[in-house]
Parts: sequence; C-alpha cells; structure tokens
Amino acid sequence: MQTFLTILVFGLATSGIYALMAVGVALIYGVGRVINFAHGAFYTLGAYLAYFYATAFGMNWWVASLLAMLSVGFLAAVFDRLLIEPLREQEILVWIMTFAFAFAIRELIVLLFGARPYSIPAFAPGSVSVLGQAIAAQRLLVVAVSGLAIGSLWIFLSSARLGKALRAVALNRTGAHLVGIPVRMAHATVMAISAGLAALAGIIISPINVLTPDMGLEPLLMSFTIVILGGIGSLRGSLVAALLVGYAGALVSFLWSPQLVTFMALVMVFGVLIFRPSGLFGLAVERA
Amino acid sequence: MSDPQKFSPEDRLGGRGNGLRQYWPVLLVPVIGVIGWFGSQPVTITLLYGATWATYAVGYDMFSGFSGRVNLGYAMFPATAAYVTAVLSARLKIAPALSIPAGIAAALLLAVVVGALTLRITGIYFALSTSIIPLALFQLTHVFGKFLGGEEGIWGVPPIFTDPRLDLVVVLLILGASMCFALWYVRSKAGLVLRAIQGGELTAQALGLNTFRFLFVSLLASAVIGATAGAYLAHFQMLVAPEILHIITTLQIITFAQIGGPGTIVGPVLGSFLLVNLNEYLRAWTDLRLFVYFATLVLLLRFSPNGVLVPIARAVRRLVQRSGPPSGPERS
Repeated sequence: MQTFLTILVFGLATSGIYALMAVGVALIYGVGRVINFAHGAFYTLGAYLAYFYATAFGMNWWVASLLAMLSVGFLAAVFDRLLIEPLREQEILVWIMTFAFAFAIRELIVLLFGARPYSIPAFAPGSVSVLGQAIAAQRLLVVAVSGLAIGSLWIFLSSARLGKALRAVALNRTGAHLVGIPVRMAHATVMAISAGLAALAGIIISPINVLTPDMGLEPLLMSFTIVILGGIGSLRGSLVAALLVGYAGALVSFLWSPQLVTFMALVMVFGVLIFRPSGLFGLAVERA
Repeated sequence: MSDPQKFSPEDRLGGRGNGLRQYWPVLLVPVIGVIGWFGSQPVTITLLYGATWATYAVGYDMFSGFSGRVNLGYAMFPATAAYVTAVLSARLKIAPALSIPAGIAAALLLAVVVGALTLRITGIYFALSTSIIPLALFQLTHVFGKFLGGEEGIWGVPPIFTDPRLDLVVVLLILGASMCFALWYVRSKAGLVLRAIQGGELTAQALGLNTFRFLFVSLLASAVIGATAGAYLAHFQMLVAPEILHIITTLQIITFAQIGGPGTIVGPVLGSFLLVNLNEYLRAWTDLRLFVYFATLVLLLRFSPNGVLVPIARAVRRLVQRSGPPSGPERS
C-alpha cells in the first residue's frame, strides 16, 4: 500500500513536470510550426534566474519565481520575433537556430554561474503524512502547481479571446490572418507562454534535483517523446502521454533501474512512429 | 524542408554529366594535406578532426541534402562503426585490419534495418524517428556499461600510426574518395531521382519511379561514408566516447552542411573545416569560447541562412561574368 502510494505521488509529480514541458512543445509546434530544441534551455534558465533573483536581491522565492518566469517568457518572445520569424518557412534552419540558441544560453549560464551544481532549499520544507506515508512536501507542491498551471492554460485556450485566437492560428494560418488575427504576434505569444511554463517546471523541480547547466536535457528529450506519443499538435494527447510516460517511468525505476526509463520511452516512441506516425491520438491540432 | 527555390539552378549541383570538371573541388583535399603535413602538431590535429567531420558532412549531404529527408540520427552510423571496432580491437584484441571493416559492416546492417523501417515515413516524422535511434543506442551503452564503457566510453583502442600526420593522410584519402563518390553519385540518374523526391515524392512515384529503392541505396551509401570515418576516428583518438551518439553530433553535422550550403557536397566540406577551425581558434578566449561560437552561429543563420558558400560563389560568378567575355554555360 505504501509503495503504491509512493509510486502514485512520484509518478504524478514526474508527469506534472513532463506535462508542463510537453504542453509547451506541442503548443509551439501547433501554432508556430517550430520544433523547439531550445525548450530545455528555457527550463534551465528559469531555474537559474529564480535562484539568482532570490539570492542576489533577497527576494521572496515566490516573487523571484514569478519574475523568472516573466523574464524567460519575454526573452522567448524576443527570440521568436527576431531570430525565428525570418526563417520560419525553412524548417531545417529553424531547428538549427533553436539548437544554436539553446547552446548559447547554456554557455551563458556556465559563464555567469559556473558549471558546478547548486542545491536549492525547498519552497515547501518538511514532509506531509498521507495515509501514514511520509511524502516530501515539495513533491506535493510540484503536483499542485503543475496541475494548477495546466488547468489555467486549458481554460485560457478554450475560453479566453486570446486563447481562441491562438487556436485559430494553429488551425489555419491564412484564415486567421484574413479575419484580422496578428499571426506573428500569435507566434511570439505562444513562444512566451510555453517558455514561461518550461521555466515554471524548472523552478519547482529544482529543490528536488539540483541546478546544473545541463538539467534541461532530460526533460527536453522526455517532452519530445511525449509529444510524439500523444500525436504532434494535440494537447489532449500530450497530457495523456505525459501521465503514461511519467507513471511508466516511476514504475520502471522502482521495479528495475532508473537507467532503463529513457530507453523504454524511446523504444515506445519508435514503435509508435513506425506503426502510427501521427501518434496515439491522431492529429488534432484544432482541439485544445 | 530546405527550400529549393532559394537557390538558382546553377548554384546547386544540377543536371547530369560526368565530365572530369565536376571533380575539381576534390583538389581541396591535397591542399589541406600539405597544410597539415607541414603545419605544427595542433594544426595537424585540428585538420584531422576537420576532415573527419567533413566526411560525415559529405555522407549526410549526399542523402539529406538531395532527397530533402532530414536524417536527424545520422550520427548512429559513425558511432556504430566506432563502437564496434573499439570493442573488437580494445576488448577482444582483434587486429584493426579486421575490426574496422567489421565496424563498417555493422553500420551498414543498421542502415538496412533503419532504412527498411523508416524510409516510408515522410517529413517531420522521418526526422523524428531517425533521431530516436542514436538516443536509444546511447542508453544501451549505459545499460551495458560493463562492456560498452557507459559514461566513460571505451579507452585503449589501438592506434594505427603514431604520427598524426599519417593519420591525416588516411582520413584525407577517405574524405577524397567519399567526395569523388558523392559527386559522381549525385550527378548520376540516382541523384536526379533524389532531387525529384525533394521536389515532390508523389510526383516522382507517379512517373513510375521506385522512390523507396533510390532512397534506400542512397541511405546505405551515406552510412558507409560516415561509418568509415567514424571507425577510423576510434583508432586515431584511441577512444570512443558516448557523446558521439548524442543528437548534438548530428545537429553539428547538419549545421556544418547548412553553413556551407546543402545539396552541393563541396559546401558541407568547406563548412566543416570553417567551423572546426573557428572553434579551435576561439580557444584563446577560454570561457567565452563556446558562447562566441554559438552566438556566431546564431548570427550566421540569421543573416546568411543559405550558408556562406552559395552567396560567395554567386558573388564570384557575378564578378567573373562582368569582367570576362561572355563564355558558354558555366557547367557542362
């Protein structure tokens, strides 16, 4: 029972982080048609910036985190507007651009903070007893925050005017342009929102892991895996796939070894790509 | 996919024709050989790596640059060859004369499997599914860490020569042969078919072409080119590190090809030497080095998205045409 509970919470926390990343990757591809290799860099940068704001200016962690999310979002919007937009029609160039940008950010982090790992105090210290099983409060916080963030994103996309405009661009760029939606602004907005969510994921997980310049690599890989599994461009598919991969990962690492997790995920994805290239849930760009 | 309309027809390797003139860019290889032979040791080593990357880039370009299918897992071919020859020669003490061909054969086998599984998938799905294979192999090297070295890789691969200048000669021979083959191949009927596939695979199929067959053969050839360079790399650097399986390796090859000008065979070679050297000369900047490297890359992409070779070639041609008397067509 206790192992079951542990796997339940671990799986949910991991899924939450993966989902925060994957939703962004899916959104950026759906709306902007960009495969964003820089998404892991946004995750890393968010965590470092929150740490920097909190320690250098003595800010409250919550304020620092919010500020870090905003900074990363702003940077991502500028990146999209100045560096991606001129190349958008040439897919390969966009890939290389996001890759080069990701590494430029990684090197900037190494320059400013050094390559050594930092450990971060938990925002929610201590542990909570759930049905007699002690669970780190930070992990529950991760579950709560990621659930909340994804819930608000969902409501935003399905009911807010701006959210609907973004979905319209994903559905049909020319059509959206014709009805007066500023398509370039939509691209930049989506990049900013997604990067902000990636930063949030990096921030809330950093007390559980540690800060390193390469911390974004693994979640980047997993979010790509999830997006392919769920069907590229489908948010609903990405969420289900995030839960699937998160729990499969928690189970495999409890039962066998954490080293096998990525390998299994990759084999799963390869199978899906070969036999059902549009993912488990088909292409559903139009649905949020 | 890279936009064919961005290049005027004469910028790309166009048409067919097998005159000797098309091979003149291979003359670059002996020039590099002379520089490397008489240069200082660091220069030789840099050119050694440059030539290895250039060979990868040729292999990548002859498939992806012409067919438009982005092989985002290209590094799996050199990596497989490097790992197999390293395991055979360092762990099982088999002579390199046998282990290198075995490594190439293993990469060829992998290409057969990968090609059969993935070539029917198109567009972004092809790129994503190929990108996964080296990542999975990377995990395997960790899962079987005892045998495949895990994080550290395999050390103690026996060198072939002690003098890096002789290694350079071998790698340049591999590069020269690969360039000759690729230049011949892309001007043959197969090259035309590959370009037709880039233009529109369905149209090519409607013409009665078995596009799968041409893609498959081209993938095998590109795998052998990369594998040969990869296998030799294991011996001259005397180790194989798992980083070679990382997606970064492939992205780097694509970057070299893209900076030089994809679909030209020569462009990717120039791009590789250019960027490998840039990276080396930035070493004086120590901590700033990689940041400057990637920032330069970002700016190059932003302001010269079709690479540096194509715009320069265009400018030179314009100059020549303006000053010289009008001559016949540029290319035979």
